[in-house]
Amino acid sequence: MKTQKRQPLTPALSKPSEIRSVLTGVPGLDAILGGGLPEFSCNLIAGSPGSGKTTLAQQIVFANATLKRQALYFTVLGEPTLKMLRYQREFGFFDPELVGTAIQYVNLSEEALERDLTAVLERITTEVENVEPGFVVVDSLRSFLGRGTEEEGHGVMSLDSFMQRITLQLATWEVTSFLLGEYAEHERAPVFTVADGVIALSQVADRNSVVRKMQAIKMRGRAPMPGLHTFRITDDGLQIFPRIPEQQLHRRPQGVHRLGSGVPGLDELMGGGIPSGDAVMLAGPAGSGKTTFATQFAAEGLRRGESVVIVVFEEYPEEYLARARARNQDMDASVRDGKLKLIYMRPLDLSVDETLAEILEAVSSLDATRVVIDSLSGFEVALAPAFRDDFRESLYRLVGALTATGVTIYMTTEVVGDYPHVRFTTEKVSFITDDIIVQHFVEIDGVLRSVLAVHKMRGSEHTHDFRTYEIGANGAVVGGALRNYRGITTGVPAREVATHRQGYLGLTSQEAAVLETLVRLGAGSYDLLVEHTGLPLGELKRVLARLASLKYATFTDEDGGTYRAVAQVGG
Amino acid sequence: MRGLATEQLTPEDSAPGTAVAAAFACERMCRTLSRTLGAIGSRALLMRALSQAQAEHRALKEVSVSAKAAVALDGISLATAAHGEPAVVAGLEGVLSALLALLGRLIGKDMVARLVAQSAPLVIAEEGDK
Repeated sequence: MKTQKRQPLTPALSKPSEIRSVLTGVPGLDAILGGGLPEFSCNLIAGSPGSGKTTLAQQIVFANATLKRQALYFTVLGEPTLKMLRYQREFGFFDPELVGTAIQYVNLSEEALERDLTAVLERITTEVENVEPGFVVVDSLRSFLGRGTEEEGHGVMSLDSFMQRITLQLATWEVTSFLLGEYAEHERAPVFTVADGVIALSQVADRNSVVRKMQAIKMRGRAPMPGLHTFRITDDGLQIFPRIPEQQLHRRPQGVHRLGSGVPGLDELMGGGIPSGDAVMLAGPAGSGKTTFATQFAAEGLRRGESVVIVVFEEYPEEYLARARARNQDMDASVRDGKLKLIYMRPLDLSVDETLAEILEAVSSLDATRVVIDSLSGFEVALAPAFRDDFRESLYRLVGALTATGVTIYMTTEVVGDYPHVRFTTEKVSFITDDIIVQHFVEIDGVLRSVLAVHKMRGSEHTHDFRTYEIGANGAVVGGALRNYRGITTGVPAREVATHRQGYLGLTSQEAAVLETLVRLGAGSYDLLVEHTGLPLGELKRVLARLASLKYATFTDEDGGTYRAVAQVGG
Repeated sequence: MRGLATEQLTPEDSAPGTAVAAAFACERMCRTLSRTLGAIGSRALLMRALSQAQAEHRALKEVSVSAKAAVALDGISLATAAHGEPAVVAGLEGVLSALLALLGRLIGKDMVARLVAQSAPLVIAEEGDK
């Protein structure tokens, strides 16, 4: 019997409390639990076979057990201990040095199979009193509960009685305990009531992907984070991705300065640059140069000594860097210097929280100020089908969490359809962004030209011009405004006549409107012009006569009277 | 691993070098492991180890794992009478070595050593109580 005094555990994370917290050692879990597990709490880990219950319990035990605060790990039926040890030791958290010392495994199969629940409880009691552990795991509860009887009598303990007794014992033994059980997602057994904490694990197969989720259904004395949180079982055990990252809970105040976009001419359109902390969306059709713009945004940051994170979904980082090199944007040195991190994500079963966790980790480790996501379309495809169905909500959380860190996000997305009916492939996400730039192809004089316009800048002035841009050997450069064209959004803009540029000298607005109609039609009879201008015939005749007197139009007798714009006549 | 097996072959309360002592050592090892692996698990290990050792030791032909007790060996007297004590002791030593080697292959030698070291004192104490 050991007589040593129990060691204090880690202090509570969330708020001052009499109850100390046990940090789980599972990435992401303590945040979900509201600051770790309450010391001496009895926790149920519920889930279907293969959901990760044993791995989670082992991970917590290996993170906490010491020679002074040992763990007793009771195995009952189900997975043989031999197999459990064989496979669990493959995980990074498993330390063979602790087996048999800080962590003792005790098998209860004989009591469960050949005797009854009373024998099981007696054996647990004996072992706990001998070892005086700090942690107790029973793996799994359900397997021997299935062998109990529903009714108490003739000295046979009922399931309910067993549950009451073991939870009472666990409380008085001053141990933090974990009861593992196979429970269906919506099942609520009596043990859910008596346990202090309930952590439910589930896995859902959707088409070719499997998404694992965790929920802290209950945690006495804590304020667990609500909702379902995705997790992955890696070589290092469980990694959980909280729905609301810690960074979002403590939003960093946004700065007021502007960041250079790296594209000559673009900052001028955006009121002097991109407001720091904004989420920018660059939308354009395939081949419009979205990645080039995004790369220049990243390169500009690096040039100014900032750190940058680029998340790519559609090509490998090596290809991305090679493409940047081809545009004279050599980023290799920045990668080597730790100023730039490229994150490549393409597994097709991503959860948005997992993506977010990786980006946040990179932002934090680099203290990055700029994040490029290239592209949202690729991101959507990389997500597990279950998350694609709710992409808008996913993206909302992603952008919200990232902007909370103070970084400026530059996202690209593909547009489909013909102007003016263009829609983003990630439609209905524009409200999430602060600034929207839309690229577009137009045909001018038989030549395909690239133009762009700033559609939206939240809380900031910007120009509304359409600007041409070209992508050359050194990247993209934004040119002048397309002021002499109308119908740009149709994709086939028309050049306006010179009179328009001259400001219709000497014309009233009504006369100018009639002239514009005449220019657009080329020529028009009285009837046609009445129809297009909406003016009464008498008024129209007066205006046309004045346009003719000022040499803006000519009159011929054909079709009972036809007017032509002078510029059109002159061709 | 070999050292561990030899250590188990010299129980304090049996005459060293006898077949009974060797069998007792095998049984004690299994009881030791039973705490962690369960009686069913350790019995399965003993059966597998005996089977492997029998392939190399003819003296173990008459030895079997008891159907009555969870971890006990039957037929030791019969084997001793038929093949002589030294051959049976060597065979049982082979059983113990096979058992530890098998366990080592499954969970690693390092963990086997720790499990035995952890449980052995408790088993010996239990035997003392009886």
